Order: sequence, then C-alpha cells, then structure tokens
Amino acid sequence: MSVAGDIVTAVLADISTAIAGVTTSKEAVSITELRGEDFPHAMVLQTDYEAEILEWSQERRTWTISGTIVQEGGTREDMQTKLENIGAQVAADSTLGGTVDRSTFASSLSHSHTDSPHLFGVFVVQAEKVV
Amino acid sequence: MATLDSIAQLLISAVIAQTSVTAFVTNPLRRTEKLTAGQTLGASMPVVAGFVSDSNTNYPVGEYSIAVLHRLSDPSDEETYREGAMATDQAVLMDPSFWRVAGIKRVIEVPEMDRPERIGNIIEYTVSVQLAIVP
Repeated sequence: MSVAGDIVTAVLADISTAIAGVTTSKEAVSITELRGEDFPHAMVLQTDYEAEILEWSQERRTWTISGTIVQEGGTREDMQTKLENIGAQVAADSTLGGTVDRSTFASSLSHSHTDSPHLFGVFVVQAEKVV
Repeated sequence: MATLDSIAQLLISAVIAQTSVTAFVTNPLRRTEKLTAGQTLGASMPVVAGFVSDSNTNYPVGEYSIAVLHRLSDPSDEETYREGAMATDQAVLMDPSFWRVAGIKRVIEVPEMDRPERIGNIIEYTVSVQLAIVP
C-alpha cells in the first residue's frame, strides 16, 4: 500500500477507535446509499500531497486528508463530541501508526438544513514526514 | 610550512578525533549530500582574514568555520541529541586550546558559536575562530 493509503487507513482506524459503532469509507459515498445501521459514517473526501525540498537532500512530505462524518439524528453537541474525540485520538496517535513524523487535526461542524435528518462534521488531518 | 589549507586539514582531523563528527562533507556550499539517520558530519570553510604583526613578523590570519551537521534518527530525538552529543561536542569546540594545533601561533579571536538551527531532521551549528598561522 502507498504511504498515502497507509495514512488514510490509520486516520480511519483512529476515527473507529474514537466513535463507537462508526462505519468508514476510503472514498466519498452518497448518504442516500447508506442504510440506517451505517450511521454514524466517516468518509474520506480528498487526499492532497505536496513535497518541499530542504537542504542536504531532505524532503518534507505533507499529506492533507479531509473528510466528513455523518450522523442521523442526534444533536450538534453529539457531533461536536465525536469530532473532539477524534481530535484526542489523533493527538494520542500523532505518528498515525508510525506512518509519519507528526500530524495535526482540525474539525468543524457543518451547517445542516433544518429539514435534514443528517448532521455533518468536517475534519482535516495534516500529516508530515521528512525523508 | 603551515598554510591555510594544511591547518584546515589538521583541524578536520582533530574534530573527527575529539567529537562525534565522523567525516566532513566534500562540498559544504552546495548542500546536496545526503546524511544518513544518526550521522554527524562536519563542513569546513576556511578563509584568509588578513595578517597580524608580532615582533617584526607578519602572521597570516585564517578564519576557520566548522559547521556541525547532525541528522536525527527520529524527529523526536532532538532533545536527546542537544543534551548529549551536541553539548559534549560544543564544549570541545568552544575551548580555545582545541584550536592550537601544530602551526598555530595564537588564537586571535576566541571561538564563537551561532545558534543551532533545525531544518527538517538536520540540526546545524557553526563554530568560528580566527587563528594566526606560523608562516
């Protein structure tokens, strides 16, 4: 598996540890395809990669993984708690299972239509490794 | 007869013998060499700084800068290196007597060290000194 694949796997593993009963996807899926038992669901929407050349033939590689968490019903506070739990789990596993040197986590609650039964949380994990 | 370069070679040997530096880079200006994890290399950049007169003799003065480069084995090893090998090496390099190798008349300017800087996984600092060379 590629390094990016390992990082995505590690991020989803941390999410699974942080949220009880969550299901995960490594790519975007339509919530209409998800069944009731699939919620809460975490999916990776995008993975960006960039490399910066440093002195002495070093290279700083940075991956940015962004995704969303969907829950059916519940309150915004529930979603906020989920996002905070993921943040705590990523902080405890800052090397993402040893795949990178360090990582940081950020999240926000997405605005939902008042008629929608779904709540969305957005997360971004930035991971860095110098080789 | 001691020259700027012959003194530089003596200093390189002394640095390798007395510090954790294991070798010197061949081209310190291009900065393209790859350091392996845990490796400590030196970079030597001698320049002529002028002359100093003493008892009717002119002594060439060389300014010697030795850069010490260390690649961390792991990004989290910085504190261990700074408090261990780096501190020991700096104590050696900051001692004026270290620089009085054969062919040196005297130390004109005592060793000065710049602030260690970390770029990526490499920590680098430079010690500079001015030495009067016996012509």
